[in-house]
Amino acid sequence: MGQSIAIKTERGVRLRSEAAYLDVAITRDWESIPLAMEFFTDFTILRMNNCEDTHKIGIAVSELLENAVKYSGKEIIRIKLNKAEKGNTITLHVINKTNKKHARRLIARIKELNSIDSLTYYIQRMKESIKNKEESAGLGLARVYHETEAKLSVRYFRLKKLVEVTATITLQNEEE
Amino acid sequence: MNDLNVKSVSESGIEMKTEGNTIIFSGSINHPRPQVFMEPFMDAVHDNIVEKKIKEVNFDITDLRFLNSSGIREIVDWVLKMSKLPDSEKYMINFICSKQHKWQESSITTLIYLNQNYTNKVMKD
Repeated sequence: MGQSIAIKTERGVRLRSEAAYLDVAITRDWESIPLAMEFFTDFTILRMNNCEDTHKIGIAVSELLENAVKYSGKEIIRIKLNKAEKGNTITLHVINKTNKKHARRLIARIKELNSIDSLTYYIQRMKESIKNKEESAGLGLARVYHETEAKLSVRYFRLKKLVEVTATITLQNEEE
Repeated sequence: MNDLNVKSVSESGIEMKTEGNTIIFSGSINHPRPQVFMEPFMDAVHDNIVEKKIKEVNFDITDLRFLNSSGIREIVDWVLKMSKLPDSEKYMINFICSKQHKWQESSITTLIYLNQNYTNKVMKD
């Protein structure tokens, strides 16, 4: 078992770390996103120093948190990282409160992207995103799906009105 | 001189400017609505290129540490705007990227799929 740390920053980010596990709660605050992105990327670099594509974790953390901040209520957003005991697979979970309408849209979007290859979907979303700039770009999930090669899934906990987006990302060794 | 002449922008941790035929972005774009400052700048760049009949520009992002998906949308908009021009007015965009910022490899490679004839990616150490 690794050493645990607990930090509370002025920006409201609480960090808890064990051997290859992170559990972070952030306030619904846009400024916390780059901080969390940097922390998760640094953690991954330290834990997996032979991997060349640790930046994928930063992309996934940033885009998933942006979605959570946009669509959650006032409550905190929780983000967890688990590293598989063997191999280079990392699983990120982003959990936040949201309404049923957004949860349904998220479930539909993840179902849609899982039915198509990632590049086709990303290009499709890029072209769609410029049609109405008043709305959210809607590119974040497509970016995570394609650029990090993540497997994405979503669960909605109806009674607690919590949505959990999971991204499973396998990093490559430098020599591969 | 057929150099770009667009007013520089410094906003929310990012600087956008032009030098000669090069558009330069530096900093990090994590803003929730980067279109507020990126769109007017990119529109001015596009209009300036068309007005001066410039056939090739460089887009130097070697010092851009991060670009979120809302920022990517603004670049998509620019590339597609160029793509809609008549062939005689289209111009080449060379993305100058850094190997130090690994997100650039994957993000820019995808952007190039939008118009493979008029976009190009150059990776620098």
